[in-house]
Amino acid sequence: MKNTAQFRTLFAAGTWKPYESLELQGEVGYTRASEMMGQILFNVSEEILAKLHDSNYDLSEAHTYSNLDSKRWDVNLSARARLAKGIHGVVSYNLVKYDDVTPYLADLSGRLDVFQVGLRWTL
Amino acid sequence: MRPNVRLTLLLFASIVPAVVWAQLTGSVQLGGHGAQEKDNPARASEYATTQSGPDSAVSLQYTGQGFYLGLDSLALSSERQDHALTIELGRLVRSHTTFSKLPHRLVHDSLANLAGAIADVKIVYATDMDPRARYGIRYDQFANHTDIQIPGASWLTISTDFREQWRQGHVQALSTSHCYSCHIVSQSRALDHHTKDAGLSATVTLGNWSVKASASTRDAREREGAPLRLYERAQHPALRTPLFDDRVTYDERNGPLPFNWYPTQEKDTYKLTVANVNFGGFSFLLSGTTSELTNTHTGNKVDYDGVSLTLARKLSPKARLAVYLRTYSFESTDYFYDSPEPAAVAGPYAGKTYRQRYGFDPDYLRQSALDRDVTEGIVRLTYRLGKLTTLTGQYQARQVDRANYQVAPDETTTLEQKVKLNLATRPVTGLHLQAFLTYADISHPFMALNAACNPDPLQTTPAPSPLAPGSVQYYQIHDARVADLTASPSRFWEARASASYQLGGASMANLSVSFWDGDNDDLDLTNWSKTVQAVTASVTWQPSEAIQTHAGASYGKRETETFVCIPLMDG
Repeated sequence: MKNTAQFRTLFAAGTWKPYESLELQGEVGYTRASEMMGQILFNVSEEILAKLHDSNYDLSEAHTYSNLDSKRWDVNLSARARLAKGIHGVVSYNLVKYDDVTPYLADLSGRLDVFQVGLRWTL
Repeated sequence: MRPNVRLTLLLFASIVPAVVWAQLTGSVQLGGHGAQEKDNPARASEYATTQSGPDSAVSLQYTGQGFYLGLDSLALSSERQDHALTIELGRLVRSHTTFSKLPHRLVHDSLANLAGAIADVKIVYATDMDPRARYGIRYDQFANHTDIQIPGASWLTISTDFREQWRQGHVQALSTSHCYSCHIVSQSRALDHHTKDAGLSATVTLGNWSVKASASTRDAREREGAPLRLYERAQHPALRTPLFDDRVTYDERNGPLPFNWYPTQEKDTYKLTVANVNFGGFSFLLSGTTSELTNTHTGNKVDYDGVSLTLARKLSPKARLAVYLRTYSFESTDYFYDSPEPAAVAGPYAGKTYRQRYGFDPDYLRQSALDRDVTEGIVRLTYRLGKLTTLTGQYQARQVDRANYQVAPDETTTLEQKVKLNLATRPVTGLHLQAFLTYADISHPFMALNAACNPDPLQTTPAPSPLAPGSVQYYQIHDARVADLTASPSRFWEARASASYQLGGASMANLSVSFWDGDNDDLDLTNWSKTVQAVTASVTWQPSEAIQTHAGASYGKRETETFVCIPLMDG
């Protein structure tokens, strides 16, 4: 029996300072991951299976029960601006989005959005 | 104001009196955040805070006359914090203290997948006692390391280590009742796991020699009680009669029984290290460790004893040799399991125990498969082929002799041998190449002997029930297995290569590839194999001082092939 796992990741990040007092940053990551087992080849004759009255040996779909397949986005955007000497304003946005394409134990799809603002004082 | 922010400000105010204000460096950030979660948090916010509110980030350093104070503090919420405090009083005291808080959200298994495998509830079914529960653990850790040097005794350093860890929350606890059917019950259980480590060490340095002796102790205990389960009465699934009383060791008649139970553990460790940076031209490090881990409930123990030696020296201006040797052993307490042997109360063998009926002895002496003597060594030779090219060759061997576990008929010893080559070179300006090649041969790798597959039919004549004369018993099916199983290779190749190339003054490209191919054909009836491939490419581009960009992609694939036997059973 063969078990196959694969992942593909794309990522990009950048920093841009349009003015001396302003810095913009961005990061994006995307991951697709999957794992699956091959089909169980059950070489038992119908004659023998017909004698098993209390058990079900139809394994034609059993290999799909433990399939794993997910998509995940990670996004971070932030900006930092100098407001006065030694004082910066900072703002950021974070996103994590997880799509459970083939739920196994439970549907793990979910999303988290976080928006943050602050004042930074540099001594 | 949230307690975490109040704590940070209090710390900040207490360490920053006005007289030292001007000598401070660092930064202070105060702000707030809003968090919104949707659907299942088990992956999207597995370790992240989902609480909204004020937050702070502080990094302050003060350097005075013979005094240093450093504070790094990140307080996002009451469940996500990192604090570090460093204090140095000249060479007299150097102390580093950290405290971290982290949430870990866990999956709630709906158990619905059981119905996907077997639809007949007579055979298996599940009950979730708390289907809307969200499971997770709050992880807190406090740690301190302090070095003390007594004035006038600069050759001596006393060190203390202290660590406390808490894991508190609720987790999913599963239990299974076997007769009359497999009934899996899910319950929520509270967790309050506490681990405490304390250690003391002394280091004496005289010339090139240094000797370090240390002792440490650990106490790990679960402070919440184990959940209880009242298992179903053992009975025939269709007739609902007590036919299986001689085949189970506990059921409803024993009352509620604890499960998912954590034993309290204590561990004492002692270590002695002797080092010399120039001992006959060698860098020399000899270390010995002994430890004893005790399950305080049963009194069972695991003893570890180990000695290691590291030697390294320059053989010539171009060559360097390093040798590492280690031997260690594990020894555990044996445990005799005396099984309850109830007599059957119904059926054709009423009044007889299973042993009296079939001659099967259910008692056994439990001996740990981890008990072993291990000897390992590494010899590494690094040679500079040219100004910008280095070749490293390494031979590595490891022999594992198990006390109680056979990995082949009458064979308890595994011998792993690896040869590694590493070439690092810069053939042209701007190009940096690295290549690694490994070949490993493992004699008698870890495997389970006779763990699967019954090649011949065991029940050749019809039997109306497992109680009927002539019916095959589970222990006979277990004993009739003939095929070895493993998930370990008997040989493998591994190759890795990476390249980075400077594309002009503003950009750089990186490429790395890896390949692993291993198999095991030492098994008696089947083979096992695995291949792993991965590639990563990335580009960094900085067209101006104001713009920096980085982009890339990765791909990986793993294929495992193994043999599976599915025994045919009916009833």
